[in-house]
Amino acid sequence: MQLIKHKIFTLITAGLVALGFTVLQVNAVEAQSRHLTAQNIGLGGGGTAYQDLYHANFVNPANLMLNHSKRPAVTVGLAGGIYSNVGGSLMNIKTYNDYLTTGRVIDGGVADNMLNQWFGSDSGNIRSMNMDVGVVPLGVAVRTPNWSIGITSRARVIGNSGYSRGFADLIFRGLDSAHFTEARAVNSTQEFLIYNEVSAGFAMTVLKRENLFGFGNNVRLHVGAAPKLLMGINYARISLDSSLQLQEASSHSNARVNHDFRYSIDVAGDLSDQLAEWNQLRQQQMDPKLGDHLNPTAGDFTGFKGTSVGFDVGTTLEIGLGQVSAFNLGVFKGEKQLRIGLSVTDLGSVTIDDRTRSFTAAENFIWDGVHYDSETVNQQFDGDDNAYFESVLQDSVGSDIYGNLQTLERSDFSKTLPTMINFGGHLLLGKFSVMLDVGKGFENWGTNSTRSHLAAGTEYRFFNRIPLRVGYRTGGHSSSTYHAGTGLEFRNFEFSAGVAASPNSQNYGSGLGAAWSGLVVHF
Amino acid sequence: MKQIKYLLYSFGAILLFAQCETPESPNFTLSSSVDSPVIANSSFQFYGGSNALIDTTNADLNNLFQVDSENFITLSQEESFDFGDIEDAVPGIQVAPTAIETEVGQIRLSSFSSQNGDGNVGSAGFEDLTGESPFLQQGNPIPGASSPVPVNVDLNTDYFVSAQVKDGAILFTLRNNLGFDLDELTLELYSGNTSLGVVTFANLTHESTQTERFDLTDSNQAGDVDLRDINVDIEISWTTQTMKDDPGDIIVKSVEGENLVASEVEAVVPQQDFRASGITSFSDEEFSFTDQEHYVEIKTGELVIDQIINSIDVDIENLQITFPGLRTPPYTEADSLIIAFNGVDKIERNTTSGASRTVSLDDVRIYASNNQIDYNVYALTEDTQQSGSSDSRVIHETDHLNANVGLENLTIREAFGVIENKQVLLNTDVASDGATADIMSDIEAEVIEIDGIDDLSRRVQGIEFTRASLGILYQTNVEIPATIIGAFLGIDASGNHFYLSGAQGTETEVLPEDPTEKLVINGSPIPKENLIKFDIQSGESPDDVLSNTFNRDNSNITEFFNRLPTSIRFIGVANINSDGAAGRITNPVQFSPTLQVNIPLSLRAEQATVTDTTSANLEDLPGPEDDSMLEDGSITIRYENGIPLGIDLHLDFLNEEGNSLTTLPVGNETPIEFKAAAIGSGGFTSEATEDYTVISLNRSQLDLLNQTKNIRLSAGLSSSEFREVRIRDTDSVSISLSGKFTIQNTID
Repeated sequence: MQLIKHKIFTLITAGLVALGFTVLQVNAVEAQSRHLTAQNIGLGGGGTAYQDLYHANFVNPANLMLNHSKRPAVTVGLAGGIYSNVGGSLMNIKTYNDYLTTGRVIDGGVADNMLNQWFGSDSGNIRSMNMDVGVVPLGVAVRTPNWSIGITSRARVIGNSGYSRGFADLIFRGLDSAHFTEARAVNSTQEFLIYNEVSAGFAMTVLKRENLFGFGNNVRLHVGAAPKLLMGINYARISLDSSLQLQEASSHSNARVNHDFRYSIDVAGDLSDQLAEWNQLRQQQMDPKLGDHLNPTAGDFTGFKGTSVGFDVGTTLEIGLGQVSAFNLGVFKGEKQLRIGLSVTDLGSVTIDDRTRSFTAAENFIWDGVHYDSETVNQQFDGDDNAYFESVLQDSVGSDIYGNLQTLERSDFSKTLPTMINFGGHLLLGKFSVMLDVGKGFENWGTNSTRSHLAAGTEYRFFNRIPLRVGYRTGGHSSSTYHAGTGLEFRNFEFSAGVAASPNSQNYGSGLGAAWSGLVVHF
Repeated sequence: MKQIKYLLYSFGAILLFAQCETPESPNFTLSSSVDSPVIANSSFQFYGGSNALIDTTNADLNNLFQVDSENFITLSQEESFDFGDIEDAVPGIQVAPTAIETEVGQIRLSSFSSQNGDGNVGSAGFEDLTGESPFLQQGNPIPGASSPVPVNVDLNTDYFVSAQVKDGAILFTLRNNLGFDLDELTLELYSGNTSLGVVTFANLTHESTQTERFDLTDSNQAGDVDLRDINVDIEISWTTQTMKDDPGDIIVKSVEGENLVASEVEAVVPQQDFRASGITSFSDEEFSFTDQEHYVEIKTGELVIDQIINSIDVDIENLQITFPGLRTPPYTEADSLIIAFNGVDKIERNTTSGASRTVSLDDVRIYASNNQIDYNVYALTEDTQQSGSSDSRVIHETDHLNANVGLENLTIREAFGVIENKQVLLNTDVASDGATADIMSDIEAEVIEIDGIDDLSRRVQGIEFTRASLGILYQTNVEIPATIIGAFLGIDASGNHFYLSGAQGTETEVLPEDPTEKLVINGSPIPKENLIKFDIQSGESPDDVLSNTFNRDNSNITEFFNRLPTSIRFIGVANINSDGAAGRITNPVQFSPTLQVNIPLSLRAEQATVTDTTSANLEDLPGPEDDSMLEDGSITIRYENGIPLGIDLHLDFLNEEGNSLTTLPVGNETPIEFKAAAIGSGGFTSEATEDYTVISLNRSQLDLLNQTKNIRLSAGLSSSEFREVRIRDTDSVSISLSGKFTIQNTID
């Protein structure tokens, strides 16, 4: 019987691992835009099946029901968690180190090789640097035998900064007509969202079985949901979509720059007002200076500019493995449990509806050079040709072409949350545990990626108080990352931290992450 | 065991993170390109408003160029010289004050008595004359006889006291009222007790009146006859006859002088008149009246008659001084100037303080043949006999009337005659002595500033303006031959001096005998070979605009303008009437010239040089020591040149000490050349030349550029085929400019 249980357990464990890798191979599972904690960042960034306490609201609300026997009934986190997760294909440290740290001359062919490695050969390829920073100022979890609730506040900043290969060509090769003979995409997107959310999670056990197929006992199926109030603080997006083509001077024609561009700036609040005022004056030919009008205010970073709702849902299956004796050895002595979780997080969108405006400009700009007008030079620039050229570039080109913005009043900006679907497993074997998560984002936004990722980790708890965590993540918004974490976890107090970094960023860029548990008190 | 696990986990974590990438310090050199158009195809018309090479909106160039109907451009500048009124050219007339002395001369005596009109100056009775009874009556016979004794009759000559008679006669008119006819009556005239002679009245019949003449020249006295206390002795003779009437008297009805003149009289004199004539001369140093028609017309002036002293014992009731040569409009002989003193202005007798009179001579003409002015004096005295018989006066023939006559403060409006040769400065004369005019004096010299070509002058050498000329348009009222001798000093932008000179053998050449000493530079006479002259023509009217042109045929004008003077200084002297011809000159003498600089852009150039050094601090450019540097660079200039001038360009990059850092082009590299447009007949552009040129800089040159403080541009300017070309305002050049640079930035 023990042998059968052992085999079944082995099969389940192997199956979870195989499932993870299989999903990863077919890009069918979850991505990386996770609420990170000091625990899950040390374990590869998963947590669907093990992240408990008030953090469960954002990972899998059903997990509020976990660890009832190990925790006091109430947990309060003051400054209850801070995390930062940055990375992306733009942070290609491998390529950077290969080309930009060895004293090489980055010219034509070398630049091509570097950028091919970095961006690929297609000028439209986008490489991004993404960020997801969250702060949990307060989190509370209350547990009862049959249900649990978690109240969690989180301030979050999500951002993307993306550039196309063509953009990088422009930076590294300059206005090189030999390279821009054909039109190349010069695109860029900068997008940032700041919002605050208050999540109210509720979980309960919906199924209890004392035995499962002979090897499992004390089976529990928890479900949880965490509706949340989303309070948008600000949103900004700057997007450039353009193509650039250069023509070299020849015996028959002058050089020419053809930049077909469209760009837009979405802003709200005081910044929107300031930009609108500047643009109005500009359209009235008042020659306003942008710097004189843009004055960042505290309200742009603190005041709420719209409310909406979202929610997270999940379910977790707990299976006790006390009857499996095969692992009841050495480090595996102790409680054995298998958890399988499934969650969908960040459903909903953040709405910003306070003075929301879009400023857009589009032009198929063909630059043949300055149309030299000596009368203007003499009358307006005292014969100073340089001043005239600067003025043409600043005013005629900079302001009249690239600065020729149209102001569009917008009712609101509604930015979808970085929704993900997550599936994970957690095998607890005494003081040792292993975890596996797979996930996939519904869109590329922040650190969310439609590219699936897999996170795997293991933890050993010294003295049952000092967790040592290592993990690995692959897929998602960056290249694979190694994870580690540790800290102190007492019955009534936690203090832990974790970090993540990429060993090789060549393919998808580097990923860096860090999290701190804050001060967590259980009572 | 637990420690091993802990270490195992820790080692595993460390091992994992040791595998992680960390960015190294940057260390690379970015070589990027800037390949961009700089100036789009921009067309620059040679001459015009906005965006023209010669910008007509530029204040300095405004009105400097003119375009004719063929669009041919001429650099043209007119400058009117303000010489003001040339007073020195008008001859001066100085007439010294002339003393007029008019003597009374011989004094004419006529009536001796106030009784002449009543017909009884004196009488002799019947009884005295005949010795017969006065009681004879009509019809009584009277025997023939003669007066027993002469009967003396003291004549009532109340008008007369005495006289020293020089000539003439006394007429005695007698009436016979004796009552019978006389065969003869003898009247012996006495001056006091001195018999002066006898006059006989024959056949003086009763009641007849007879006048006989006693010629004092026949008197018994030699020389002047002293006549005073006039009385006569009368004797008669008759034949027997019957008394025709009762006895009466011989009546002296009148005693009058006939052509009786005296050198001195004391008498109640009748009205006397006397005349005098004279001339006053003046110098012909400046003006000669060689013909009766010659005159000077006085604009303003005065004729002053003063010190009028009448030493005669009679008033001059009417004094007239006439000047036949001074005529008022319309200047016929009948318009002579007459100055009269009469009425209240009569000249009192025996005056000791002189009267005076000032008469305006405005608008009067002086006709003074041989530079002499005639005058006539006519004086008419008072008639003292009109005031009664007691007002006798003593008059000597030498008594006289004196006066001084002068023409003063004369300004001449017009002179017609022979003006003596003189040289008159045209310019303002600081010293006001008419001696010299200094061409370097900003006050004396007239200056034409051609500001618009200042830059051109400073930078360009070797252009030949083939059709340049200097025109002088002028108006003048001078109708006498005159020649302007002038100095035209050109000064280019570098301060070099050069003169416009007349060509040898032409009428503009200043000859050794020409008076040029008044024209000086810094106090020294300007050599004659640096001067030029032209004759002033006379127009039909002072409003006629006359002209003279200095061109390449009669002057060195081409060389003069080839040096592109930015200012032209002028001083001049008018050499008036050097041939001594008669003519007319009017004050103010007007000579209002306008100098017209004409430099048609018809030119020829064969590698004419254009040089210019401009400040160009390129220290901001990267150098070899900087992290950022220029690897190479080139500027491609495409052009379509519609101007018939081509340029070979050479650039010197100079450091702070003025030493050349590098040049463009280097050595035997392809020259930076802008080819001239092709020309057709007439030298105008027939077809624009389209081409391009590339200015390339290599790394070694670029490394030096940041030391550049100045750039010296040298250009060889050549006309198409080195021929004479003509530039139109519509000629244009179009250029487009592209730059291509490789920039290296080292980041470490």
